[in-house]
Amino acid sequence: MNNYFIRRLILIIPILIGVSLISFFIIHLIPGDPARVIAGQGATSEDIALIREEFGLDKPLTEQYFAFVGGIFSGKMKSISSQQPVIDEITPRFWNTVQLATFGIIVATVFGILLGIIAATHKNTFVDNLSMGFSLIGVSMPIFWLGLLLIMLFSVALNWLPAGGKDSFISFILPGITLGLPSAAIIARMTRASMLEIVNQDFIRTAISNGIPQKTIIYKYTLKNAMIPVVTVVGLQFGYMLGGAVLTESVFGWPGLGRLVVQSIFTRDYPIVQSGILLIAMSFVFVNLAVDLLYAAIDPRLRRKK
Amino acid sequence: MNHNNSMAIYWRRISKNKMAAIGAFIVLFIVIIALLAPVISPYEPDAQDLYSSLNGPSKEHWFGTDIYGRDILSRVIWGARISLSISSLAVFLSILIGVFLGAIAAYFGGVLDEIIMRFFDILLSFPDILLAIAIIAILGSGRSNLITAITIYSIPQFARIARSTVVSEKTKEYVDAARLSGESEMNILFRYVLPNSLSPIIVQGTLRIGYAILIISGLGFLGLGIQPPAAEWGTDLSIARTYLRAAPHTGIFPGIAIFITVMGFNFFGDGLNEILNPRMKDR
Repeated sequence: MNNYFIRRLILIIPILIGVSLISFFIIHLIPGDPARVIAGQGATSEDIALIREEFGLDKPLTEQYFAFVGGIFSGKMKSISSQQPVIDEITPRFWNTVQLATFGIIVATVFGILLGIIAATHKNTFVDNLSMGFSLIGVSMPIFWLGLLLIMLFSVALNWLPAGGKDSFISFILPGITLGLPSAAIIARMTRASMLEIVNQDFIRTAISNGIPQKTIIYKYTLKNAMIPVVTVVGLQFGYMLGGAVLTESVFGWPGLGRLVVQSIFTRDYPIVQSGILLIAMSFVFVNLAVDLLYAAIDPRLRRKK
Repeated sequence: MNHNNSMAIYWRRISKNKMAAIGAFIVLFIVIIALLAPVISPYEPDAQDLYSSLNGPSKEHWFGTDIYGRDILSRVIWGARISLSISSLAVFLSILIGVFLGAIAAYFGGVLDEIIMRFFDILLSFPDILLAIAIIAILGSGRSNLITAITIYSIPQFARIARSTVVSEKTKEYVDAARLSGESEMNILFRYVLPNSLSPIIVQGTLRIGYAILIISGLGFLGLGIQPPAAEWGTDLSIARTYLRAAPHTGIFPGIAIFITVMGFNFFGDGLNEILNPRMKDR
């Protein structure tokens, strides 16, 4: 039984190495001399030499790679613009992104599951079509435009909620809804499909023929079993939010990590770009791992395979 | 069954499936607009008129004007060209590369399979738009770099589809028969085995164009995509963001354009999926 867990844990090692290699190579894949690119236009040859020295760009690649990974965590790697250790720059920003994604996933889960249950219990009625129509809108909506529309309505027209920043709990509402709604659409579709599949299974038919009340069947038997795949989708959506939050963060001026990465691309602050991208990808890998392990824990069938 | 006949059957099925029909209609509509942009757009998309900046919708400018006094309707029309051309080219390239890599990975198996598929696992470890951002961080913004970013972003999906088809088909009898009759391995793979993955690839390809349009506009909004003054929906929305209070209309129309286009591809893709995989219906 523990085999599955151990195998899954071992499997993430090559992924983590691969992810860190890609982040490391970002600077080396830039066309041209990386030191010249970092130095920017109008840099003197001394500047370029200094940067080559500081970034260790003249050392062998393997040495540079280990210096890169070690440098992030030891604080030796510094942001070009602020000269602070990158770890001090990205950690608070990452924390802001995680807070936003957590609020977003709560919105997505509550709305998504509710909508999915309503659709499934009213299959092929107007209500079903309406909620599935909403979920189709949700997956086609550009997230940043959704954010702009919410700002226009609730901040500009009604003046109820702040359009940006991160000051108090109120600042979470609009970005959280923006980030959560597209995922709510996906969770709703999954909940509906999963419930309809369970309803058709033998044990539910048996329960119905035994005269067990409909409410018990829906909420106790069907929903409980239907939630297994939904848990996976919720977890995956949370992972996607860590990366996808960059658009929401830009709309609302949220001080998150994704936004910092994008700003640092413009200022050519590559240490921040590299470590920020690495941190988001790593957290996505760990979220996926947690989802897989959780799935195995609630669905014993998976553990027994192989 | 000859080719014309089977096409006719597909068209009949598409017209019967409501979702596919609506999707096909929207996609066709946007494609025609993109093709006819030079004819139908009332103004040049980048013609500035600073005297009529940020005007609301009127008889002269149906969608109003932006901060530079450019006609928003014309920019939305020309924007369809950029979004459709980049997304469909990128998805086409990623199908070619992805299917090829996925197919040889599965057919030859072993170390090759491991290396190729693990590499794609790593690419898929960058959530959502992040991989595209990382590629733009390397290459810089601009049209061809954007195409490269979207292509790489979409390759793993197609590789996985091709791989799973080949894995399930390669042990079937017709493959042995072809081999015994002296067909070359490449011939067997590309002429007999791979055509089986055609329908999931068509479905996925349609959906991925919609995705790609979202990513293109997202990168544009972040300032990492198509650079102004080119008329790109996401880029125009990022300019509009500054003037939401004075001129909300500038933030509406490009968004509607993205939304409807992506919805068209999603409807068409989902509908095709129901048509091509009837078992999936009702799910």
